This record gives sequence, structure tokens and C-alpha cells, in this order.
Amino acid sequence: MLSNWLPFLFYALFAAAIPASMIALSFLLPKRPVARTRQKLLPFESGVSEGPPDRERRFTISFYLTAILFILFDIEVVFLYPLAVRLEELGWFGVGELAVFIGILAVAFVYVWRKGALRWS
Amino acid sequence: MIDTPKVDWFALGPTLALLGASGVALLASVLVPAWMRKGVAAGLAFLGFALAAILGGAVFAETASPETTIAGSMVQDRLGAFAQVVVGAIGAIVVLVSWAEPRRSHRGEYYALLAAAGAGMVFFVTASNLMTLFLGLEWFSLCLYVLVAYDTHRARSLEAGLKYLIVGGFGSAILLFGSALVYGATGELGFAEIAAAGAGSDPFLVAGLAMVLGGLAFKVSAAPFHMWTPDVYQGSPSSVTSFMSAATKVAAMLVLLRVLTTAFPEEREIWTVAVAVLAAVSLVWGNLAAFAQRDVKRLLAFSSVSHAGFMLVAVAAGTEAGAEALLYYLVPYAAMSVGAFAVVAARERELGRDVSLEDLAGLGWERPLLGLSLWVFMLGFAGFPLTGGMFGKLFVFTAAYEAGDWWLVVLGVLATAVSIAYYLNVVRWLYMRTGADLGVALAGGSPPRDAALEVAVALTVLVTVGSFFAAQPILDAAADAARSLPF
Repeated sequence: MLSNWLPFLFYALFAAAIPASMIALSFLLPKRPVARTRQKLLPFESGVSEGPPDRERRFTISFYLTAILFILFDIEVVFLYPLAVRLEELGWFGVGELAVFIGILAVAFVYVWRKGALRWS
Repeated sequence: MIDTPKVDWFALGPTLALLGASGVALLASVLVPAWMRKGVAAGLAFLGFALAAILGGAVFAETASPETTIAGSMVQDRLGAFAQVVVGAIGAIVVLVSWAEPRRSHRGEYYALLAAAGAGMVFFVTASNLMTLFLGLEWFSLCLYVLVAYDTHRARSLEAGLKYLIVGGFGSAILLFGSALVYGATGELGFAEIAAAGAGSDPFLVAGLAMVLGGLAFKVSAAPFHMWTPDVYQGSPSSVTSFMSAATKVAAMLVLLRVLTTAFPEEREIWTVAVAVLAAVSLVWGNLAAFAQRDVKRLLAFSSVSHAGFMLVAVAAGTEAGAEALLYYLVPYAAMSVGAFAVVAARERELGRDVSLEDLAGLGWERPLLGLSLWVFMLGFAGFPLTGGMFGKLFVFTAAYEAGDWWLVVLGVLATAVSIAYYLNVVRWLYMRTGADLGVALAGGSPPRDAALEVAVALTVLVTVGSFFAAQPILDAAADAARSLPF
């Protein structure tokens, strides 16, 4: 029973190790001492580094649209991987299923395009 | 080799009709010339809903005994088909109600979202495992979150959208957590398999059952899970309110009944008591709170909470008679609910503001058809004869009495007696005062007649009264549908 959870333990260890190693390496790798200026110690968030998060700050809506669209089409690509791995077993059924999925996304894509959501200005 | 499930296109028909209508309407709202977008999208949504109802009827006619399809993820049975017909009809009428809604932008997309919400609902009612249950729930809920906040120029609508999103998301999360516990206890997702797993009174299973029940109670707006209902019903565009109050309630009530009876038959002693408590709280709180309302949409929202109470009395019976009573009840209730909100929508468009009881003054004389219809709906809600509301309550009380829930019958009769006061108060405002007395001025004079809305209201009156005179055929269909469930 407990051994079933072993993969999850490894998974959790990896999940913790990756960010921990990132932080650790940024201290270990520099050859000469780095000046810890206030600017460099602030959390870095997508090019915005002016102190703590601010509820009043406004972002242009374009960021939000792009992020949402990215997630949509990113998920589409994620689904292509399992199909590619199992294509021989799934055969035309799998291709058909994915075609339906991409077809629905294509409708959304045409809508988004024509609506002008991809125009940055 | 991976087993590929056989896809039953016939059983999926109603869902595909609406999904197709939604997709084409969405494309139409950017690809066709601007002046005809709304017309094309509305036409497509109407066709989609009508086709879903017809295909649902075909499934009803063709399916003698329930069978699961698509790897056990959905069930093709008369219960689901019954709901598909009702939801399809509601949707088609709501398209008519929405037609003249003043709207500056995104006029085509509205109908695409409405059809997508309908597609989610007709899929939801055929769910036969916890996965499709959650998928269906989220499918129509996400569409409704957007529709509720559709009037972005009204702060109330945005507020309602945010409230519905947060509270609805919370309800969905509870349902999902409950599903996880049920899966953990039984190792099964399918409703029939959960029942067959025989987990007995495993505390995880019981906790899961309670959370699934709570999650669905949010969607049917049963007290004490109703707190979003008045604000959301009041804030949303009235046509959306009419769709939510009728179609969401039909779909969620039916799925509640299906989950409890097919997945948890062993735990009947537990859930009948839990549902009876929900019913009692809804009856008491819905009716008492309705008294205090000045806004007509809020009043109807609390009335909808109290009707959830009546429907849950039928579910609490836990018998086939109870299921029949619930299914019958849904038909006149859905018609009255769509119709009542449609009349409020018409008044709202005339006045250009939220409608309070005072704003109804004189409507009965100015617009005889709408006034008379609202009168009929109020009598129907209260359960007067010559409307299906009377038989609905009668069947519910009979089922509850036979199941031994006499205290619910007493409470239900008391609630009905109390409710007459505030329903008739609406009628009093319609006829006893004129708009001139109170200085209720129409925005920009008397607007032209809204033929589509009047047709919609006339149809709902027809169903409200027709379900009284033609109660037997509806009851027969309800009995056929109820036989799909294992009692």
C-alpha cells in the first residue's frame, strides 16, 4: 500500500529540489562577490520590480488576453503528446477525437482572431 | 491494445445539437455582416434548443430501459431525455425573451453562450459517473458566470457575476472534494458501481455523500446554500435570470435525484433525512424572506428558494412516487419561472431600471396580456387550481405523506398558505393602483410592443395552465422517466 505512494514521494522531492537548487545555485555560481543592492533583492516578477504587489496597479488588458490565449493553445499542444505516444494503438479513433478537440479550439481561434484580440495595440 | 469506447451519437444528439449551434453562432457573430449577427445567432440558438428538445424526445421514445454508453460515462435513459426536452423548451423560450433586450455590444455572442450553457445542461443530466457529473456542472456554470455579468455597463450585473463565480466555484469545489472522498472510499467513479461497491457506512463515503449533496444544493439554491440567489437573480440580465431559475434548477434537481438514488441507495436513511432538513429550511427561509422584498426579482428569487424546498420534499420521500412528483413539478415550475421573469424583463425595459413592487403599479391595465400572465404565474406559484402548480404541490405532498414525512407535509401546507400573501401582493400592485397614482413614468414614453417576448409569455401561460388540464400525459411521461431509476 505504502509503496504505491513512493512515486509521489519522488515527485514531491523533485518539486522541492528544483526551486531550491535555483536559489542555491544563484548564490554558489557567481565568482566574485555581488553587491546586494536593494534593487537586486526585490522579488522579480515579469519585469515589474517596484516593491510589494500593489492592488491598485493596473496592467494593460493585452497581458491578460495573451496569457489566457497562451493557456488555451498550450493545453491543446499538451494533448498532442499522449496521442503521439499511443497513436498506433488508438489509430483513427484517436485522430478523430483529437480532430474534434482541435476543431472546437479552431472555432474559438477564428473568433479570437476576427475579434481582434491578437492585435497588441 | 487500448479499448476505444463506442460513441453513441444518438444519445449525444441533444448535446451535439446545442454545441453545434453554439459554435456556429459564435462564428456567425464575427463573420457575418454586423447588422445580421444578432438575428443569425439568435436563430441558430433557437434552432439548437428546439432540436435538442426534439432529439431528447426521440431518445425518450426509443429508450425503454436505461443503458450506459461511451465507456459508462453517460447514461441513455428516459430520465435524462425528459430533462433534455424540458431544458430545450426553456432555452427556446428564453431566446424569444432575450430578443429585444437592449444591448450595445456582443449581441451574437450572448446567444452562443446561452446555447453552450444549454449544451452543458443536457449533457449534465445524462452524467452517470462522477467525472462527467463535474464536467457537465462546470460546463454550464462557466457559461452562466459570463452570462450573469453580461451587462458590463451595470455595476449590479458585474457584482452578480463576481458573486456567482466565487460562490459557485466554492460549491463546485465542495462537490469535487466530495467526489474525491467517494472515489477514495469505493474506488469507483460510476454511480451504479459506487452503489455496488457496498462500502456501507464508511465515514469517507458518508462525508463524500454529504459534500456532493452540499455542492448540488448550491446549484438548486436550496437554503442554507442559497445566499447567492437573490443577489445574482437581481443583478443578472432578466432573460439570463429566467434561464437560470428554470433550466439550472431542472438540471440540478434531476441530477441530485439521479446521484442520490443510483449511487447511494444503501445510504437512503441518511440522505432522506439530510434532504428533508434542506427542504424544511428552504421552505421556511424562502417564504419568510420573500415577505421582506420590495424588488420583484428578489421576491421571485426567494420564491425560487422556497420552490426548491417543495422539490426537495419530493426527493426526500426517496420513493418512485416522489421522483414522479418532482418531475411533474418541474414542468409547470419551469414555465411559470421563465414567464414571470419575462414579464419583469418587459417592465424593466419600459422603465429602464430595476423593478420594485411599486413599479408594477398599473401594469395589469397598461399591458393586459403581461399583467394577466403574471397573475396566472403568481396563482400558479401559490398552487391555485387551473394551474399546474396545484397538481405539482398535490403530488409532492402525497408522495411525502406516503413516505411517512407527515411533518414535511404540514410544513409545506403552512408554507403554501404563507406564500399566498406575498404572491397576491404582486397581483394587488398589478391592478389596484395605476402608474399615474404613483408617478411611475415610462422611460421615453410607451415603447413598441415586444412581439417575441409576448409570444414567449403566452407559451409559458399555455404550459402553466395546460399542465393542469393535461396533467395525465405529463404525469405518464414523468412516471416513465422515474422508472429509469432503481427504487
